[in-house]
Amino acid sequence: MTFGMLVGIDLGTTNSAVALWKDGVPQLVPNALGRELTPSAVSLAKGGQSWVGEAAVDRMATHPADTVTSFKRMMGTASTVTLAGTTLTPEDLSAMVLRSLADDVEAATGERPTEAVITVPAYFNERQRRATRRAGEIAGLEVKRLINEPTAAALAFGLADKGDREPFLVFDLGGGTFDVSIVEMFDGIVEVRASAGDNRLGGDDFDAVLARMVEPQLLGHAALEGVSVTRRDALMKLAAERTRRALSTSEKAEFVLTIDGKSAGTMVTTEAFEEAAAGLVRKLRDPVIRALRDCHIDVKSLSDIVLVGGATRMPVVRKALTRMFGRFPNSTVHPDHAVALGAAIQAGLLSGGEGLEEIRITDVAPFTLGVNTATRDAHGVFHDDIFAPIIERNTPVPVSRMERFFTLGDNQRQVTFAIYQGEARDVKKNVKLGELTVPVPPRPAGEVQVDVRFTYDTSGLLDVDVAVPATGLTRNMVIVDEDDRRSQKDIAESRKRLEKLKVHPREEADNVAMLARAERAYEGFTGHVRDVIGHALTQFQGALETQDPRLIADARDALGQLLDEIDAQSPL
Amino acid sequence: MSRRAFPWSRLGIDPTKDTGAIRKAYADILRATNLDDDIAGYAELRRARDHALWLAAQPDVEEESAGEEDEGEVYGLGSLDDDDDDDDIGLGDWDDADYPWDDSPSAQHPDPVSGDDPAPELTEAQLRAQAAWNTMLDVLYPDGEPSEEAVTHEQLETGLAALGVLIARAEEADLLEHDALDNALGELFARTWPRSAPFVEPANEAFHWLGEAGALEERYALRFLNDRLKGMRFHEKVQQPGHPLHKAWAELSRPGRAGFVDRLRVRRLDIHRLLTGIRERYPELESLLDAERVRSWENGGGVAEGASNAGRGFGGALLFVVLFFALMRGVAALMGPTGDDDAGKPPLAEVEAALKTAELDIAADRVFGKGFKFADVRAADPNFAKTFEALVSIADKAPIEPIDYARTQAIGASQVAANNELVVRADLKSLWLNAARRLPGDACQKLMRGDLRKLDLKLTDKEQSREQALLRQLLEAKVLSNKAEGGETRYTIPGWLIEAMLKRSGLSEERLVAALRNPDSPDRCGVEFALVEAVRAAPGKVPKEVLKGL
Repeated sequence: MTFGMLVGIDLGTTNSAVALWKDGVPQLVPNALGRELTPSAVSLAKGGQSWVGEAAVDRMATHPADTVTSFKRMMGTASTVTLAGTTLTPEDLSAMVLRSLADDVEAATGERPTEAVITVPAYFNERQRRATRRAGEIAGLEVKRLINEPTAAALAFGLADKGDREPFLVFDLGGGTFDVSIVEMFDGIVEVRASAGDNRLGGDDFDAVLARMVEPQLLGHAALEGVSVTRRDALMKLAAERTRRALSTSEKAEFVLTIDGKSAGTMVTTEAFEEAAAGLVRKLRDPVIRALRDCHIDVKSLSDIVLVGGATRMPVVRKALTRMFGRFPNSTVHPDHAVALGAAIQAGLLSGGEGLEEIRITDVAPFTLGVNTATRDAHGVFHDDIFAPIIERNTPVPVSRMERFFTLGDNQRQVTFAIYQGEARDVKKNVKLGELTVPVPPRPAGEVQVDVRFTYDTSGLLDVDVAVPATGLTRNMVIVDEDDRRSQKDIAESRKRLEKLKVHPREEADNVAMLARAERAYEGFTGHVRDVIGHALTQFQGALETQDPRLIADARDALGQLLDEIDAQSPL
Repeated sequence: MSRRAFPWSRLGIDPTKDTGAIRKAYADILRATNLDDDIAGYAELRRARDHALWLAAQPDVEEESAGEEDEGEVYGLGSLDDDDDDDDIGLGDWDDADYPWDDSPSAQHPDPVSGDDPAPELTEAQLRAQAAWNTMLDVLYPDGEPSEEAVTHEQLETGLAALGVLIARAEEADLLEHDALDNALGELFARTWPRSAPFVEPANEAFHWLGEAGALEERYALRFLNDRLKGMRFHEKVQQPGHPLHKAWAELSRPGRAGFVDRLRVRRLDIHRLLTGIRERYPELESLLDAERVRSWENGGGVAEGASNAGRGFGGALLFVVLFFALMRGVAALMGPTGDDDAGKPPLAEVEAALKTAELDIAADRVFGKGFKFADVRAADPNFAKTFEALVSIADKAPIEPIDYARTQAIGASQVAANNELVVRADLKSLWLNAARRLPGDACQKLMRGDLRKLDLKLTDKEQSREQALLRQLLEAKVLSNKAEGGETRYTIPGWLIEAMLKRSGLSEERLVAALRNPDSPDRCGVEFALVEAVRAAPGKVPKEVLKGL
C-alpha cells in the first residue's frame, strides 16, 4: 500500500508551523531560514513576485499596501484583499502559507506532502472550517482532518509522558483567536470534555490596545506628518507588537516609530498597559466559565492549566490567569510548537504511525446546531426566527439526534428548514449553514409531522435528514459536500491564480529575507546609521550579481551581523 | 456475561467500584470501535461509562445505614414555622433534609463569598465583601421584606457603595468566587426588581450581563434583567426628540383621552409599533404611559372615525359623573371593541357590567394580589382572561375555582414555558408541596397528580403573597393561557441531581429510586420535594427536560 505523505500543520494567525510523525515522535520541520515558525504573512509586487513569511513581514514596513498579515481572522467571510493589483481571498492567502510549508517539508524529506491535518481554533464555526479546508485544497493538500487547536495541544501535552491525567484546562490564546478546552486522559484515551472560545480575540487585539493607547502622544509628532494612513497603521502595528514583546520581559518599554529618517517615541509602562488591556482580560473569563459549566467540572478539580499560544507569554495574561484559577499555570509545553506537534500526532494516528496504536481522541461539537422554527404567540402574531437546537454544544461527537416538528399552517404544501449554528435564540444572530425544503401533504395545521435528524461525525461533517412519515418522503443533505461541489471550480481557479505568482527559488530564501530586512532597516533609520546600512546593502546586491555562492554567503553574513548590531541598540 | 445488568453489560465487566477498571473497559471497547460507524453504540458506551463511574462514586449501603435511623423524622413537620429566622442561614443548612421553608432574604440569597464551605476562613477582603452583601440585602429588603417601593436617596448611596465593594471583590477573586458573586447578584436583582433597578446598570458594566442577552444559555435571572435593562435604555432613548417613536411616546404619555387634533398630529402606525413593541419586550414600560390615552387610541378607529369618536367621548363624560373612576375603566374597555352593537341595549346593562367588573376585580386580586384588576389580567394575557371571566361569572356552577384554575394552568405550562418561567413554576411547586405536606391525608399525592381541585392548601399570608407574585410572573409571560398538555413527560435525572436529592431526602439510593419509579410510594412526596428543592438550588445546571417534568 502506498500512502501519500501526511503532515500536521498549525495554520496560525501570526505564525504557522509544520510537523511530521517520524520515528515514533512528532518533529517540527524548519523553513528555509532554519526556523520552526513561519510568519503567516504574504506580500506581493507588481509583476507577480511574491513573498511569504519572514520576508513578507519585513516588507510590511516598506510596502504596507502590498503586504497582509492576520488574514486568518478573515477566514469564512467574503472579504478579499488586493495586493499590488491582485485580488486574493483569505483562502488564497492561507494556501500560499500552506504551500510554503509544504515546500519546506519537501526540502527536508525529499518528498512532497499530499495530505495534511490542519488545526483550527475550537471555536471556528462551520464556515471558517470550510474555508480552511478549501485553503488546503488550493495548496494541493488533501485535508484528511481538521483538528481543534487546543485538542492538538492537549495531545502534545499528554503524550509527553502518556500518563493518566485528571481533567486539565488548555488555555490557548493565539494571535487572533482564543480557545479553552477541558481535556481528560486515561488509558490512551484523550477525551475533550468541553470547548469554548472567542474567535475574535487574540494577541492582535492587545497590540491594537497598545497602539490606541500611545496614539494621542504620537499623532502630533513631526515624524508622522504627511505619512499615509495605511503606512502609519502598518508601522504602528509592527511597533505595537515589538513593544508588547518587550513588555513581557521588562516593566517598561519604548514605543518607537521610525519613518523616513524621523523618529517618534513614547515610554509605555506595564502598569499603564495592564490598565488599558483590562477590558480584554475580562473577556478571557467568559469562555473559561462557559466550558467549566458545560461539563460540570469545578475549577478546583482541574489538575492543570496548560498555556498555549504566543499571547499567553504576556505577563498581563498570566497575572489574570493566576488570579482566576488561584494558582500558577503550567508552562511545560512550548506555546508556539505544541499545536503543530499535536497535529503531527493526529497525522500519525490517521496513518497508523508506530507508537500510537493505543491512542484515541474523542472531541465535542463546539457549537449548537439546529433549525429555525416558527410559532404563533398568544396574540396570533407569527414569529419565524426562533432557533430550535438539535445538537447542543459540547455534545461528544459523533452524535446523531432527531427532533420532531409540525406544520403551522392549514394546507401547508411544504416545509423549509434553514440549518443554523450558534448560541443565540434568534436565528438571525447565528451562522446559516444551508437550507432544505420538503413537500408535505396538505392537511390542517399541526397534523403533519416532519422529523429532522442531524448527524455530526468525527471529521466535522454534518448530515441532515428530513423525513415526512405521512408520505414516506425523505430528503438528505450533507452540508460540507454541498458547499464543496459548488466550490470545486473556485478551487481550480484559485489554484491557477496562485500558480501565476512567482515564488523565489528556495535556495534564495536566505537572500530574499536578508534583502527585505535590510530594506526595512534602511527605511527605518536616519543619518549615519542609514548610510551604513545603505553601503552594506549595495555590497550585498553586488555580491548577488556575481552569482558566486561563497561571495554571496559572506556578504549575507556580514550584512546580517551589521543589522543584528543595529537592532540591538535603541533606535533613538 | 449477558446476565449482567446495564451499565456493566455494555462495559463487559463485573460490577466494580474500581474507576480504573471501568475506564480501562471503556477504553478497550472504544479502541475496538469505529465511532462513525456506530454512533448509537458510542453514545450508549459513554452512558454506560458515566453511569458506572457514578455508581462507583456512591457510598456503600452499609456505611449509610446509620443515616437511615431517623427516616421517620425526615419529613416531619417539626421545624416548620413562619417566624423569621434571624440567624444567618448559610448554605450548610440548606443541605439538611428537613430545613424549614424560609423566605427570609438571607436564606433566599446565601452570601456568595463564603461559598459552600461550612466553616470558611475568610480573608479581610472577603469579610468586607460579605458585609457589603448583607448591606445590599438590607437595602433591597427593607425590614427583611420584599418591597416594590423605590429606594430612597440614602439607600441608593449605601447600596451603590456596597455594590462597588462587591464588584471590586469580584475583579480580584478567583473564578469560583467571581462566578458566585455574578450569579448571586443577578438572582438578587431579578428577585427584588423593580427596587433593584438603579443597581442593575453598574452590575451589568462589571459582569457584562447584556453580553449574554439572547443566548440560548442565558441565565434565567439575567434573561429577566437584560430585558429590563434594554427597557431602561429604550426608555431613555425614546425620550430624545430624535427617536423615530418619540412623538408616539410623548403623545401616549399625556394624560386624558386623545383628541381629534392629536390623531392628526401623530401617525397611527407609530402608536401601534410603539405599543406592540413595548408590550412584547418591555411590558413594564406601559405603566409609564397614560392608560386612558392608550385606550382611547386603541379603541378609536382611524382619523376617518373622528366624528363618532367625539360622540363616544361625550358618552364617557356622562358615565364619569355616575360611576367612580375605576369602574369606568372597565366599562370603557367593555364598550370599546363592540362599539355600535351596544347602542340598542338599555342603560341598565352598563351598570350590570360595572358590577360584574367589580366582581372580576375581586377575583383577580384574590389570585394575583397587589390590587390586581381584571383589566390588568386582560392586558397581561387576554386568552387567560377569557376563561377566567367565564369561571367567575358562573361562580357556583363553575367546575373549578379561579385560583385552582390558575394553579392547574401553571402546572400544565411546562411545554410552552421558557426557562425562567420553568424556574418560577418550580418555586410554586416547592411552595405548594411544602404546604401540602403540612396537611393531613393525601393532599400531597393529589398535588403531584396535578389535581388541584378542592385542594385547600391553607397557605399562610406570607405564602399566599408569594404565590400571587409568582402567578403574576407566569401570567405576564402569557403561559397561563396555554392548553394544558396531558400525558407523562419522561426525562433522565442527571447523577449530580440524584446525589443532591439523596442528601436532601436522607433516603438510601434504593428507596429513592424505588420512589421515583412508583408514584404510590410513601416516600414519593418527600422525594418530589427533595427534587424540587435540589433543582431550585441550582436551576442553571438542570437540564430543561427535568425542569419541564417537575
